[in-house]
Amino acid sequence: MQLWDDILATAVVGTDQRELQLAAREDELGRLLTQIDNSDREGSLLSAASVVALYRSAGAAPPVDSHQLPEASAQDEADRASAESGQHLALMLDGEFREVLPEWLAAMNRARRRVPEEHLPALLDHGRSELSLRRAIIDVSGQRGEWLAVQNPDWYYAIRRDDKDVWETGNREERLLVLEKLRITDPTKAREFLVTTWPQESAKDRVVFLEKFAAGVNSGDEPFLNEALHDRSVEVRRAARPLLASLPNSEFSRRLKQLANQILSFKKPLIGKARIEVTLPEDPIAWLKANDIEIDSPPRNATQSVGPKAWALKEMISLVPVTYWNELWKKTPLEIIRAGDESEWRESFALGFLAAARRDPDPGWIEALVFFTATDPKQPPLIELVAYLPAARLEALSLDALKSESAELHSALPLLLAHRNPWSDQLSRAVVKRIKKRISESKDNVADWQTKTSLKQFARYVSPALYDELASGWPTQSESWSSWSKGVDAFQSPLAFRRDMHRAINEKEQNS
Amino acid sequence: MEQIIALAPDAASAKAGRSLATASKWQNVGHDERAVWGECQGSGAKPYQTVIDLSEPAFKCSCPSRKFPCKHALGLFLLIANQPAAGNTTVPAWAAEWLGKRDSQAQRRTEAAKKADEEPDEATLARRASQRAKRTLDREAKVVAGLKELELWLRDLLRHGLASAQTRSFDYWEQMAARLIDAQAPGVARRVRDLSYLPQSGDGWIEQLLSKVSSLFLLLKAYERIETLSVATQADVRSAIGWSIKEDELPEENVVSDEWLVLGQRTTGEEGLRVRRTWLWGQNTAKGALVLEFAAPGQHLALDLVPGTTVEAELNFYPSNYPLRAVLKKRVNTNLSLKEIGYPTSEHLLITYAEGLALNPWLEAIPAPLQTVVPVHRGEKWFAKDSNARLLSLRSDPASAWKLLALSGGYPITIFGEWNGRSLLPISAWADGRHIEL
Repeated sequence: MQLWDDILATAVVGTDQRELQLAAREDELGRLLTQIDNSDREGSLLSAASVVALYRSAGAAPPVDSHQLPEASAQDEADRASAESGQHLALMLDGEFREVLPEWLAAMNRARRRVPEEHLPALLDHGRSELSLRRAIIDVSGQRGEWLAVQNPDWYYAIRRDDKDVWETGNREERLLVLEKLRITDPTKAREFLVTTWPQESAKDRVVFLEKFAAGVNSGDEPFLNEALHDRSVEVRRAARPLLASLPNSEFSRRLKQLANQILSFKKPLIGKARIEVTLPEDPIAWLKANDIEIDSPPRNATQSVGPKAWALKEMISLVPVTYWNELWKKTPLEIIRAGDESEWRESFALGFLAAARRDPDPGWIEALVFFTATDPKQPPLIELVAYLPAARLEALSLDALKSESAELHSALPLLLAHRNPWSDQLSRAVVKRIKKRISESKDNVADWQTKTSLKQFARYVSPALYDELASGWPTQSESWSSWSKGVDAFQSPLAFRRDMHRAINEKEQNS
Repeated sequence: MEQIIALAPDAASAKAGRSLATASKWQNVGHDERAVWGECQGSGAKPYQTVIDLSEPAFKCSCPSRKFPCKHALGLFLLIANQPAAGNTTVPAWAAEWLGKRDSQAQRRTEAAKKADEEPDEATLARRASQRAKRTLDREAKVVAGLKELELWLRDLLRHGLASAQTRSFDYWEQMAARLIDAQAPGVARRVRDLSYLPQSGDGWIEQLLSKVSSLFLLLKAYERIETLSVATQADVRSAIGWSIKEDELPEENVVSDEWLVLGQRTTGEEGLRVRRTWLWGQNTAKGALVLEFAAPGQHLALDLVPGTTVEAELNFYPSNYPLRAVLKKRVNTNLSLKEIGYPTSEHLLITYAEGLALNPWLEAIPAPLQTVVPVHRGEKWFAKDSNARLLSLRSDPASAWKLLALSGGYPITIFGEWNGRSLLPISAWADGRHIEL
């Protein structure tokens, strides 16, 4: 508009520099402007500007867009979760009860609900840093989530892509996720993926990818693992060994067992304790190498001197699946552990058995190791090994530990803390009952400290359906209550939240 | 729920309140039509006793917190909102005592008000009137002096050219604004303060600045000859300058009853004075309305207008050629029915805005519910595209913009926001039959 441009030109440089010249107009606006007193330079400029600015503002029209709208999102079939569920999500994303988010996501997926649209941006943002939740986040975000992800590079991870496509074009962390997922759902496919790109991967990547192979390792992997066993990188070779060791019928495993068999024997003398006898060759590392078994050299530092024989023995034992010894000697795990402890190479046996049991956890061996170290004062206790036990076994052991009224509560704690699975109603009740009893005894002692701090974790695994029962009847009148109330609080709040969130997810939507 | 959270004096209280909204924290919870009560087990031996008088709402808690409402009151409120059936309906003595005190206070206040109304002897009346007249005159003189200074300042700015504005320091604007505050012209002061952001606002800032500066000039020229203007225009001029009218002095003839749809709410100011803007839409009169509420630190904003609901009520409008601001005078009924309204195209909005501008050239924002628009983004910029492919600029934070996009999914939705003639500030949206506050 000429008129406005003229006014603006003067306004920009100032009336000192440039006088305002208004083009005449044969309309209402023009007539109005003729009423302005031109002798007042700034006044006339401001008056004209105010009139023309209003004129322009009243007539302004937004531009017509010639672009096509992007294709709309595909319709979602899953039901939208309730507004209350949305609030629960917002609360967790805000940092409150955040540890419950994985459980919430899993419950949403079980109930086939999708996140209310307005919460999608915050949830997708959360997935950027929480790699382990991405799968579940994508599932509850539905079509709408994916539609959004296409439009925001920060959320690209949420675009459902073909595994093969991600494997070939994704970044390292995305590829690791694919490999990890496939090793569980389709280990053969995972191996095929890795084999096709193996020669191009860096040594560092070859190691991290191989480490993902422990899940779902099977005899079909053997040719590939054998290749890795002779890789040019020492780290890759080191990563391949335990994988082949986990395959009981692999050529590597058989060779190793044969060699072990040559040098170890289980001896039960007529008098005295059973022990494992060892006959080691003079240079065991070279001997192993001659038999195509490579092991690392003993660490060379001054404070911790390990002889090459002790070292080689430990390495060998750690590569043999623990159950092999049961088959070989027809002895129980505990008998074998004790016999190893009687040997002159007891250190090698202790460390070797532990490493092997960690790699291929056999419940019998795990329990035997825990029992042995707990009952022998010479041994550092290995109670944390219970985390390797299956959920059902932990459940049973926990119940067992709580059955005896005389046993101290905190002796069951390691089991309960390791039991990071949903607890049965029976166990939930038993634990809470014992804690209530402990509080009402008013005999507070230092050992209770650990129970108090564990309550927060227990709240994540006890059954939320039992909330009313578990949240009531706490001995608030007890003398020791004040030292417990904070811990009990940290137990009740998340539990109440879990109860509410499951109810909100599973009840039918009322309005809308 | 969000309404209750909005009562929280700060974010920390909101969070604490949320985590207290679990039954396990409370004993002896109950409620009747008037109030909610409960005892919250804190770390101390004696539980805190919390009561909420729902009629206002008003809060009372025996905890030592100075925040108001405290986290216990918020938690209890949320708890009851989640589980309305909870608890018994017999008011415990400690709660009844406080509620009784409130009743008698309210009664005393009504009596005092009645007394004040009843016996204004003539002498008192005359004294009051003359005091008021003197105050008005004093202020009038200050405003005139302040505006005089503003005029000189504006002329000076134009003499040197607006291009020079970019080299001005923050103080240049701030000193003028402060001077206008002293001159008791807060409306003008705010308009001057708003100018200071423009030189850094990117493309077109100089045109914006010229529009705003000339609008200020128009305002002070209008004030010079205010007695020649119509009554309604006088009211617009005075309101733009910052003269306020007391709620009880609003003329009776400006009362409008309707079923008002609560379109959306926006609260500004986190720490100091909080201002809540609630936009309403009369379903029968097709009239927009803006209710402003203020809360000083420690005060809470009332809960009476819930976005997405409809209130049957009388609103009393402030006098204006284009009345928007109003106070809630009498509420007849609240129903939760959700009705979606809005302009079918942006053209309807623009015509309404032009009409408003013709009546009140200092009009700042009008309520803009826009139907069948699709949010789109081009790089960092966001727009609402209407059914005629017109692109309206959105001035929202990225989080709200992405929420809008999520709600739409590429399909048309209704967006409600404030339209200022150039861009829309989105406040809420209707999508798939739901009303969502952004």
